[in-house]
Amino acid sequence: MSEIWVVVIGGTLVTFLPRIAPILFLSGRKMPRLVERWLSLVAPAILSALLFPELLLSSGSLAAFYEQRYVYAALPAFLVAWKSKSLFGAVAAGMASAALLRLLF
Amino acid sequence: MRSELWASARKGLRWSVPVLLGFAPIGMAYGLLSRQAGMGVWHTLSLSLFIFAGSSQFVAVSMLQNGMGAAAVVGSIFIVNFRHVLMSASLSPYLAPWRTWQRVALGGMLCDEAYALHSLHFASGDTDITAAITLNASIYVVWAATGAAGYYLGALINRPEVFGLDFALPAMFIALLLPYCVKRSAVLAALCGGAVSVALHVAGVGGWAAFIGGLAGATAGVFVGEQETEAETR
Repeated sequence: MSEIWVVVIGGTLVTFLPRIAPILFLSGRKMPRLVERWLSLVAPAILSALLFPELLLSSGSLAAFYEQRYVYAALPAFLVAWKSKSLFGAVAAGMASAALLRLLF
Repeated sequence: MRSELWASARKGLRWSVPVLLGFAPIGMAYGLLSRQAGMGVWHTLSLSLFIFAGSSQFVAVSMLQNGMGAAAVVGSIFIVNFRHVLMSASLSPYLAPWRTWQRVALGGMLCDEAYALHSLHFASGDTDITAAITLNASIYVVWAATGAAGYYLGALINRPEVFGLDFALPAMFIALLLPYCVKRSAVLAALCGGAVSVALHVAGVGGWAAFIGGLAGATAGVFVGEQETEAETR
């Protein structure tokens, strides 16, 4: 079972370095305007790269995306987030509608 | 000063609540799975404390159970987590005044959900160091603790989806993505990043999806922004 400790040590290196290297070496460095703008667009790009598959592929296939309750649970969460600008409100609305949809269908 | 620190820490704790709602059942499921896979409690806990990455830990446990070699497991962990390079880089412009240990604390305990919160707070001018690190630490502690709890007690909440807990994190991402969508460049970045990521998942290379989606989306958005500024100067 020493294999696991190799995984722990190797896994620590390959997760820790990508997390801290950019923060350590890029912070406080003057960057070209274009690079700064590119970095400011990483957040929306990567957030939706994480979110979209979660919503559209939750049943395992794109073709049936309209039968996926996550797509419908997303709507109330979206509306509450948009109207109230409240993070907690959106999370509560999303959870409530996901639970309700599961209860009904 | 003391009460200011406490107020900041409380702010960080409050921010972490939606993340913890989503993480607690996943952490317990991880602990249970790890035990069923024949891992010891120290192995289970070590993965949570040192690797601290949900999807990678699930992958690692099931690969080890299937008798895969350590090199293959570490390779998979590397691929699935490489997206953090982008997240870390995109936070770095805000951290110039931070001390080294503070940067290590922010980056070392970074997860997708904490990143989503940090980037929104930083972009809106709130670079409260204590709150940001408290948010990270709160998630870190609860992730490790629920993993250990799941190991010994099983997944206490057997069907988290009955309470809608499975949708806590997606709902949070929706709320955190929305404020960016006031700029055309950010909307395009989001649409492009999401589409590329879905395509990669469908193609069966989901491990790279978040990293490549982030890369492609930000690059697409930069081009739109250029045209906007040109139009403004004209």
